[in-house]
Amino acid sequence: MLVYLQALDSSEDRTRFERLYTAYRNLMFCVARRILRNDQDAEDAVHLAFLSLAQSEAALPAELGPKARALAATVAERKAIDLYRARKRHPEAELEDLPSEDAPPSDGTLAGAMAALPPRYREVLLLRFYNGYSAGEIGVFLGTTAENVRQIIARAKRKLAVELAERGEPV
Amino acid sequence: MNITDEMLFEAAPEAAERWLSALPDRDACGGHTFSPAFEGKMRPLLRRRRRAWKGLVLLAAAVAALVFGVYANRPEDYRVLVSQQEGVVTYRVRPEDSGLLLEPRQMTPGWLPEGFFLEYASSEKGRFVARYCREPDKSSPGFTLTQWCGESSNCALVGDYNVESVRVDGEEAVFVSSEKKDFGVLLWTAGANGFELSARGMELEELIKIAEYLEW
Repeated sequence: MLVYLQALDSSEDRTRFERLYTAYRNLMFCVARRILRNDQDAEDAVHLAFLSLAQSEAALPAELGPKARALAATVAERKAIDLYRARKRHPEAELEDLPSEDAPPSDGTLAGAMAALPPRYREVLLLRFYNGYSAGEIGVFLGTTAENVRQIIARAKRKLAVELAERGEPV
Repeated sequence: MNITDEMLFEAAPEAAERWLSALPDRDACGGHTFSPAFEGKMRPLLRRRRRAWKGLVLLAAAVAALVFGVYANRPEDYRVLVSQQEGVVTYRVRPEDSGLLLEPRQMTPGWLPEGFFLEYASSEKGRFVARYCREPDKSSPGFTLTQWCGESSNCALVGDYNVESVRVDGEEAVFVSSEKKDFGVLLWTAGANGFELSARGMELEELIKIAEYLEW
């Protein structure tokens, strides 16, 4: 067993997981509720999100900040969408059909196009290229396989290329 | 048009900022009171993590206290003290106590192995931490540089490790490495500053060069 421990004279008690929970659970609830439109379902989604985050505690951000916030909101969004599809009145709903009040409009730039992607593509791209997680880690957070994550990245790239080409915007 | 990983890495921070700015803000999110059912489901999850972490810290503290208690006759002028017994390596890095209240200042690498970049940096209470790596994948070669001023820093490692004396800028230092040579920690002090350079997948010579090329 390899255990790396640091016990400073001013050591901190709380875990990364607990800090994430305290700082972002309300945000995660808001994100989930926008999709599920139901308090109880939103809480269930938040709980499922934390279960996923708990599986890779070592990969959680050491500091609170934009990356930690993005991770928390992304995982909550994913769990909410999965619940929406599993429980709701639209079990065959395509991801692109789901309402997404959070997506900013695309402005023709690559960054804008990324932010405006349907949730599944945006989630994977930001976790990979913003948070820096591997396909395996992303798979754990989002409840899928590493291979599926790589396929989503490939599809997202094609989608971005098509969109930017249609706009005639150089990248 | 070909969208490459490099393009996505470059655009991702702005994309993330745009998406994050569209999320509900703190005022919009603060009104919900979570149900007792939710709190009940989360409580064991939090308690398990808190207990696991506290258990490890208590173990390390107990081991460190035992080992450093045994070494009561250690030289008073030691800067890096390492002890190893029964599969546990404990070390303490103690910079010089100048008796002055010094303002912590961060040093940064003046040399990096090819392809390395700064992945993240943080500072808290005068303790600076920066991670450099070749790829964002946490299993790829990389190192974390921790530096602080004045106070002692203790740590315990459980497993099979080798301990050897080395030199950084001609001064005594200690290198602790795993048996498999895939993980190592270089420990040294420079005046009132303490340094810990932990690395994965890197050679000792690289770590010493990084240490010797640190600059203000």
